[in-house]
Amino acid sequence: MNFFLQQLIQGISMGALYGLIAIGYVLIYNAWGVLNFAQGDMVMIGAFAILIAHVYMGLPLLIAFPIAIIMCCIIGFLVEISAFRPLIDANNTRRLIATIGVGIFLRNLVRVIFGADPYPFPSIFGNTAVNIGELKIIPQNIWNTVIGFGLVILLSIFLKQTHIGKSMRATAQDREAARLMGINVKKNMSITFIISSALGGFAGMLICPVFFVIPTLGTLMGNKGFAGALLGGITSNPGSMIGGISLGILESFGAGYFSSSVQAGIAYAVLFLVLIFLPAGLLGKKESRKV
Amino acid sequence: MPILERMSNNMLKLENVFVNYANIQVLHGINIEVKAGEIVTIIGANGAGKSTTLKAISGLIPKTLNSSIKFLDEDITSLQAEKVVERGISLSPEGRRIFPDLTVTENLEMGAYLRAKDKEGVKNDMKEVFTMFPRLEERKKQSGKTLSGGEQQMLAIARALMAKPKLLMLDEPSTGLAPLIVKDIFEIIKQVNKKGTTVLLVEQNAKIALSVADRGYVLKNGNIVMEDTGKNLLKNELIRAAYLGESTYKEKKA
Ligand SMILES: Nc1ncnc2c1ncn2[C@@H]1O[C@H](COP(=O)(O)OP(=O)(O)OP(=O)(O)O)[C@@H](O)[C@H]1O
Ligand SMILES: [Mg+2]
Repeated sequence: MNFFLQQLIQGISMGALYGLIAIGYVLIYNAWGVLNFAQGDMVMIGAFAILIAHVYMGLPLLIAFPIAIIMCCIIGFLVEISAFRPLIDANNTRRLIATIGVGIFLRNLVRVIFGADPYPFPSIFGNTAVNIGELKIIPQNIWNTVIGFGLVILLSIFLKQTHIGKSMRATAQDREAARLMGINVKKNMSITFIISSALGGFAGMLICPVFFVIPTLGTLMGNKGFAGALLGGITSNPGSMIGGISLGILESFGAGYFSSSVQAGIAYAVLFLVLIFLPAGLLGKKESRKV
Repeated sequence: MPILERMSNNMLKLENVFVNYANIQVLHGINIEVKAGEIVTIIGANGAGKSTTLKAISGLIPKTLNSSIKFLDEDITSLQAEKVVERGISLSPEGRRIFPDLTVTENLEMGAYLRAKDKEGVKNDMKEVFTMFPRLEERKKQSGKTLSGGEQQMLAIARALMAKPKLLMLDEPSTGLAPLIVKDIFEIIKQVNKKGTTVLLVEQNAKIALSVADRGYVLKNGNIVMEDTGKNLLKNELIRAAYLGESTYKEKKA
């Protein structure tokens, strides 16, 4: 029983990060009508950003985090104006290829600057486990879960309650009608893009102490996030969080009860199974409303 | 109507407006005028260019050559859509185009997007809109996509009104509605107009459109082919035969 709970907690904490990445896919898909295959690379950018700010510049985490987030926002914005905005009216294949291309570019740019070797990153939240009954929970697990859920809740409040958030949803639902309301559609689409990039980057920062920081980190994490988003239905924000968490739990059980090689294949298995048997995901729309 | 008198008599003036889609020209230099306080309608067959005209005015599509669109004596020919609303022109577009996953209230708030600072005013106008369309108030927490076609049409009109436009443009507000509801909607259009909003109306239902309109234009294959008062157009034999679906035989019998 304890082992079960232990794995569950581990799974949820990892899944919360997958959820953050997944929600980035969903936000961009809804607003831009395209899957952003560079989303994973924003995770990698986040990891390198915190590496630079904390390890290289020696800034304390409380300052390093905001700086790293700002770096992610800036790079996200640059990606948007270079690879997304110019192609906004192009056909889907071209847009998709552009997102793949910009991902490859980011990965290799970072490799040129930092090399292909992995960088270790110190623990962020300390290593002293908290004992709850017989359960040992490491702080990283607690904080990942709290921050992951916290950010998603904040995002949902922002989108549901604020004037700008509502106008961002309107923009994603009908761009032309939004313009007729006087909504600055370009600005809203940029904000959506920047938020997605920052959420992906945030996941990358939280994941640093667990994985090494390497240029290919994004490929790995991007696939997990994508599987989570697809499982959640690709158009639903809560769905992507649920998808991410489910994937995290499945992986954790796979590793715990079988082997870590099983764990590595789960995201792909989920991708295939969802595409074949559950194309609308858990909370997605049955029909696609994108034209 | 003292406010109206102070305004330029010519509210909207289209001169020589050309529109191309890719290589096909669909508007061939049309001229339309709307005076402050009027209800003006554009009628025409499917594909005549009615929606294109409204989209061209609202800034959604670019105009070519020497097209000129003036609103309150200011040139708005090359303004983008989001700037045109700011000047006081709102469009309730063809096909409703409400936001499907926003609630009725949120849809209305988006209509008043540019008036966010005027919280009091928006609140009052929302109340007023709800008295015009009580069905919308009953459904204010429902998402747009769960409304019936007629309710969605009401929402589209209400949303356009929430911008407090000087000129309200409606693209086929009667589409898909039961006759009784069409009557209600045109009553509301008249009411809105009486309160000082100028209306430019595009309709398939030429009969009802001409009966509420002060003046009407007939658009055919991208050209204005006739222009007169609503009353005269309604009496015109050619119009009756072509757009009111009445044969001369029926005419004589009546
Ligand atoms: N986006 C577009 N691309 C190419 N051609 C278009 C486009 N939109 C409209 N057209 C063409 O322009 C012409 C005028 O279309 P428009 O929608 O303005 O007609 P309409 O008078 O509103 O017709 P309806 O009564 O059917 O709504 C039509 O021949 C149409 O096929
Ligand atoms: Mg039309």
